[in-house]
Formats: sequence, structure tokens, C-alpha cells
Amino acid sequence: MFSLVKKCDNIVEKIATWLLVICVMSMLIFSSLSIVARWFHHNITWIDPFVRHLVFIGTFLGGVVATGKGTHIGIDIVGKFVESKGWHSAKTAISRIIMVSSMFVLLWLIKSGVDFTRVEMEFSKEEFWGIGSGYLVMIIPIGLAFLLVRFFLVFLLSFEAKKEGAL
Amino acid sequence: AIKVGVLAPEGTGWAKNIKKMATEIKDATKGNVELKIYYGGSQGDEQDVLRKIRIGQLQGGIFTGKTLGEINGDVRVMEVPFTFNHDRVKALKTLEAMTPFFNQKFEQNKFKNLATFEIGHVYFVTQKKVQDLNSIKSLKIWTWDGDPIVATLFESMNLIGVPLALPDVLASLSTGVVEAAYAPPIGIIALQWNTKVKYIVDFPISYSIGAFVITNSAWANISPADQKIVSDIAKKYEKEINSGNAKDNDDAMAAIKSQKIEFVKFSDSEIKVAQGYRATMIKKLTGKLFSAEALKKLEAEMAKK
Amino acid sequence: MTGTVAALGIVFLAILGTPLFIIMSLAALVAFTFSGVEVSAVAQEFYRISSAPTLMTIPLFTFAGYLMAESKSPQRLLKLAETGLGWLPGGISIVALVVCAFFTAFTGASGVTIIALGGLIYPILMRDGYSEKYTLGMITASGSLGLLFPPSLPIILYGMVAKVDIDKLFKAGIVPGIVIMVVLSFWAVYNSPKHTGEKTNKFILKDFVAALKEAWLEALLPVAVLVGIYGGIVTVTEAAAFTALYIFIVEVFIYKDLDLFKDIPRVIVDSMSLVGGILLILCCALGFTNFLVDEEVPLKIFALMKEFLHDKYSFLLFLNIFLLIVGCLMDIFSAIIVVVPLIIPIANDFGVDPIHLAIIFLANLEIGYLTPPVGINLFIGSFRFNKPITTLYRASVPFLVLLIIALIIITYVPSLSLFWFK
Ligand code: NA
Ligand code: NA
Repeated sequence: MFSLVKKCDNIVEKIATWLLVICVMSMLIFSSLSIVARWFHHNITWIDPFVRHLVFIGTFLGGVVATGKGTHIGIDIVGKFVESKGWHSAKTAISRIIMVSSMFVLLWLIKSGVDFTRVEMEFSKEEFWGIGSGYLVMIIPIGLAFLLVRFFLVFLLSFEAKKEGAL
Repeated sequence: AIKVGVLAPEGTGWAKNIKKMATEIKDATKGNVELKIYYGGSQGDEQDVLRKIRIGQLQGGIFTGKTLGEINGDVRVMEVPFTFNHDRVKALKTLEAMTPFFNQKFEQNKFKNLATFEIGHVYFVTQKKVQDLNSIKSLKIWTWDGDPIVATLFESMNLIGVPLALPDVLASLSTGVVEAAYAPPIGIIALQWNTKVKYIVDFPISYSIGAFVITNSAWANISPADQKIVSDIAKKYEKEINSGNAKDNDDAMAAIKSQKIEFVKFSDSEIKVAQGYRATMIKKLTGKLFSAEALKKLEAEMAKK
Repeated sequence: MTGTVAALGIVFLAILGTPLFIIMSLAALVAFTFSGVEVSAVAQEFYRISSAPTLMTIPLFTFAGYLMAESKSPQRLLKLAETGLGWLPGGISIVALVVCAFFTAFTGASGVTIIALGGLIYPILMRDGYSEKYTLGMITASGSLGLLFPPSLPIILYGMVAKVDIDKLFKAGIVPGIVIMVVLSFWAVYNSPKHTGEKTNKFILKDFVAALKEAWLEALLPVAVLVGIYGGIVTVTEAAAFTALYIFIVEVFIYKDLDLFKDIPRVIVDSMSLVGGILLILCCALGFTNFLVDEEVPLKIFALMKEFLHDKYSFLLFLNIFLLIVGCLMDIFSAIIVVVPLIIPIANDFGVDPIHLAIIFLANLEIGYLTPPVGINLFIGSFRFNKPITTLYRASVPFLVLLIIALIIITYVPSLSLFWFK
């Protein structure tokens, strides 16, 4: 059971990693290209919006990786206190409370993202490459769903014997 | 309350008039109609405000042509470059005559247009001196992304556009990343481009307009009696804001003149060149951005004396 | 009643250590629900980040910073700094301060400095013998430096919103910016390690030249960026792409410290997990900020406080405190757009010079990012160096005190900002 979960988690990590590599290298190449093009009095209008959306996609992918590493920024006062006392079961319980509430909030955010996407689809306008803004804002619910999946996998893994909560 | 997003910052002539209008509406309707106005882009840029209207967070906005065109493309027929040249009086007259026609389309697209404004003529400001329209080609010009009219203008005239975020433009003008930009005089002053450029091309590119629209559903919530009061007050302020704007633009032009900025005049033959570009652009935009009907109406209005 | 329960629940989750972006979006979702606004407003605010003016600088500068930190660049630069400035007590730390200030002037956003340069400066200072507490505090505070120097984007935005001459603001910011730097430099000297043994405190030209030969490509970067920007080759925003590409080529193809296939993917993922974490917080903060705007909360606080403010000095004191809190909660661009129009008329009434007000405003806001419990720089520092937030609180307190002293000087000695214009 846990080996399957672990496999899924590894796949998610791999997908996020490779997409991030593609994202960042494209940001670098295309931003540089637009500077160079201007020296030759050319203007590639799609680069700016394209790169901005790459950053936006990268935000969620980076969040997925941070979730796996358990490095999200938080005010970890209680958690650190419990850890320093060596209360491991309390620490694990706190991690799980955090993960469950995070999943709940993510679900709510996904709903907000889906609602927003639905409205935007109705009034979609072309941003670049003929892609409508309705499709671009889908980055939000899809990115959040990817985050949710990662939180869920990390949550399942926290039940594996001898493993401390990742958060 | 009807929540309205406005880009003009508090303290500007625009904002003061809008504030007065909101107060007057509230008093006249005995508090039944309350406008809650968010100034200075605190609810985001125009695109954000329109999005917020669509998801129901806001109910109205004061928009410039670019955003109005997303609700009702026909209004943009007024903004096709080189339509009115220097003739502001005729432009305003035409705008007033066209407004009932525009309002029908707004209505169909679920908006009530309470007041239509003229923002003014748009001018190029440049770092290098240009002789005529065609020599503008040699400059790197800042562009505001996502406006079909601007895109068509650049395409038709073969101009080099550099899209930048608004706060980046000022520094880029002084370093030479961009060598030209365009705005109405009040915009040039507000963005402080006058401190960085050497020339202003005294040949208006386009006539820029705006409007105060609220959603049909917000409008429907107002009783018929109050609707009439709101309409009348909005109409009154439309006049006041327009004359205020015209004065602000004149003052801005005077301020630009008083600085070391040179006014570049084109010879009369350039009007012909401009007409040629206008014809090309109209061909590209009709049926895409605005309807043939809107164009026909405009030409008919312009033919009147 | 239900509102209080919800707020307490959110605070409880926060101190348990729930990720900050979850806390902020939960707060926004709950708040919008209570005030009857569609929750899709939160998602719409997320999307606004994709049009933020400095968005691209964040991943690219961070990537560049990670590339340097993961290469042998810290050693080379340390050598250069030691041979060049080893004779000056606190010299290396002062150079680090100057570099951070320079960098912040370009990026404007707090935090980018910490994530991009922190990883580079941390090993340099630690190896030079500074205490960890000092090092962490200095790097966390570094996000507050340089905002007052040209071509700072927040200054430009402030000038546009407040309708104040931007060139004058740039001039006015120079001396206050230097005041902040000088105050922190004294602290750097006070905390500088006492070198003993074979380490020499003398300047030896031959060693310095040798170190320069090693590190010149990296040392040249700030010059190249300056030339790029002032030469009209790149915009401030594009400088990020330029920097990242330059460092990428230098570390991968010239120094060959990093392998394109073995190291680069790892560096990308590490840097982007940080960027993702921070941008998610920024997205959610925008959502929550929008709730505050929608409910006109800053306006209400100001209207309330107006009753209690009677003179210029009580106003300035209130402004200091108010902006320290705002600095904790909002990103700098939203804060300028939302708060500046509120304070300008009041400041006018009390006879505060608009240019001086701008400098006070920006200095305050930046310090707010360092104020416990929720100053964003503290979180970013904790994230970047994998230290508990409480460690960061302790490390930043001395810097906070020093910055507040500098702020008091800047606020109550207007001539520092205004002597140019008399
Ligand atoms: Na910074
Ligand atoms: Na910030």
C-alpha cells in the first residue's frame, strides 16, 4: 500500500521537476531572446505574456515541490515547541491536522478557481498564440489541484510506520 | 451599494467630479442609490475591474475605450487613428450623436451606460525628432499590450513596439530602451513623461474616450423614479467632467509647452498619408472589432456639417 | 460571534504551523464569504500576479542567486573581499550590505534579495567568522536596504500615485538611504570577528590581484548590469534575465563549477520550490489585501485615527506604526496603491512635505517586512536557511531596533530628504 503511494509521490515529484526545468529554461531563453530581438529592431509581442504565464505555472509547480519537501513557510511556533520536547506523537498529530486543513482550504480555493474560470471562459479573449484567457486562468484550478494531490500523498505517507510527518 | 472601480487616483479632477456626482446621487435619491467608489486602481487595473464585475464583486466601472471595447466593440470606431485629426469639437459632437447607438449595444451586453466621456487627443512624445509620419517607424515605441487598435496601428504603419509595464516606461524613456510613447496630455503629465522626452508630435493619433457603466442587474435594482434621478445627475456630470477634462488637457499642453519640449509640426500633406493608413486600419478592423453598421453611422455623422 | 470563532480558528491553525499561503487564503475565503462577495474574487486576485510589473525578476534573480551559491562563487568572492577589505573591520559585511542595497534598488520587492543573495552571502560571512545570529539578521534585514536608491520601482510607482516628481524623489532618497546604510555599517563593525593567527589584516596588492583574476567575471556582474540599464540595453525588469543568463554561462561554461545535466535541474528545482512558496504567499496576500480594500478597512482605520491626531508629530508617529503593520500584511505595490491616496490629504493638512512623506512611507514599509510576528522577510529568511521562525525573530531584533532608529532620524529630520530643494 505505502509502496504504491510512494510510487505515486515519486511520479508527481518527477513531473513537477521536469516541468520546472522546462519552465525555467524557457523563461531564460525567451526573455533573453526578446532583449536581443530589440537590438535588431524586432518586437516579439508574445514573449512577455508567455513568460509571465510560465512564472505563474512555475509558482504552482514550485509549491508542489515545496509541499513534498515540507518547506512551506509558516509560523511554526507550536510545532517547534512540541518537537523540542520530543513529543513525537503530538508532532505527528499536528502535522496531520495541518495537512487536513490545508486540503480543505485547497478544495475551497479550487472551487473559487473553477468559478472564476467558468466566468472567464464566457468572456475569453485572446492573450497570445491564439490562446484565450479562459484557458490561461485554468492554470489556477489545475495548479491548485496538483498541490492538493501532493498534500494528499504526503498525508498518506505520514501513516507509514516510523515516518515522521513531513511538515 | 453599487461598487464602482476607477483608475483615476483620488485628488485628480476626474476623481473630484466623480465624488461630487456620487454625493449628489445619494442625496437626491435619499440614500437609496449609494455609489461606493474605489479610486486609483485599488481594485486593480481596468481589466481587473471588468473581471470583478463579471464575477459579481463590483457592479460598475469607469473605463477607457480599450476596456469598453471588450463589452461593446462598436464604441472603438471613435478611436480609429487619424479620424478626427485636430478637430476636437467635431469629435465630441460625433461622440454625443453616436452615444444612443452605443447604448443599445451596451444594453444587449448587459451594461447600462450612464455617461460617456472624452479623454482627449492622444499624442506621441519622442526622444528623437521626427519629420513626418513615416519616420516614426525608426523609433522604438512603448506599447500597451492587448489593445487591438494599437496592434493594428503598429502593424499597418510598420512600427516597432516595446511592451512594458507602465511603471517601467519612465525609466525606459530616459535610458533609451524606448524612444517614444503615446498618451493624452493629462496622461503625459500624470506619468511624468514630460520630464524625460524632448519632442511632442503635434499631430493627434487618435481621439480617446471613456464611459461610466454599471451592470443591467444593478440598474434594475433601482426604482424607476430613482433611475431617472441617477440618469439626470450622471448626464449633468458628463458635461462637467468633459469640460473639466478639456481644461485639464489644455493646461497639460500648456505645461508641456512651458518646458523645454519642442512641438513638432507635420506638413499638411501628412493628413493625406494618415488618411491612407486609416483606410487600411478600417479594412482590418471592421467586422472584427466594430460592426460595419457602427462605421456607417460614424461616417454619416462625420459627413454632417 | 461566528466571525470571532473563525478568526480564532485561523490564528490557531497559523501558530500550529499551517503554511502561510493556506492561512492567508483561508482568511480571504472566510472574509469574503462573511461579506457576501463571490469567493472567485480570491482566484481572480491570484491571476493578477501574472501581470505584476516585477514578476519575472523573482524566479530569474533567484535562479541566478542559487547558481552562484551552488558554485564555487562564494569562495572566490570571499577571497576577493578578504584580500580587498580584510584590513577594514566589518569590511566584508559592509560590502554585503552595499550589494544587497544595490540589488534591492533593482528588484524593489523585499524578499527577492534574501532569496537571491542570501545563499551567497551566508557562507561568506559565516566563513569569515561572523556569528550565525548576526549573519541571519543581516541577510533578513538586507531586504529593507536600497529601496530608497534609484532606479527603485516602488519610488517610481509612489511618484505616479502621489503625483510627486519622481526625479526629486530619487534625489531625496539618497541621504536617508545612506543613513540606513551607515547605521547598519556601524553594527557590522561592532560585530566583526576578531581575526587571529595567520590571517592577516593588511592589504596586500598581489593577493588582491590574484583573487580578482579568479573572481573577475562574477565581480563584474554589478557593473555589467549598471551599464546594461543605464546604457539603454535592458529595462530594469529585463536585467533579471540578463543576470541569470550571464551567471548561467559563467558558472556552467566558463568556470564549469556546475554540470548542465547533473546540477542544473537540481538548482532549478531548489530555487523554484522557494519561488513557488513565496509567490503562493504573494497570491494569497493579494486575495486578503483585496478583502481589506473591498471593505475599505485602511480608510476606516484612518478615519478613526484622524480624531486622535492633533499635530504633525502625533500624525507621523501614527503613520510609522500604521505602516509597520501594513508592511507586514501587504506587498509593497499594493500598499502604495491602496494606502498612499489615504495619507496624502492628511499629511497635507499637517504640513508634511510630500517628498519627505514619500521617503518616510517607503522606509517604513520596508521595515514592516522585518517586524515579528508576520513580517514576510522573516518567513523568507526562515525558508531560505531552513531555520525556525523563532530563530529569525531573535536574529532580527537588533536590526529592527537599528532600522527603527534610522527611521526616527529620517522621519524627524526632514532636511535629510529635503535639503536639495531649499
Ligand atoms: Na529586496
Ligand atoms: Na514586498
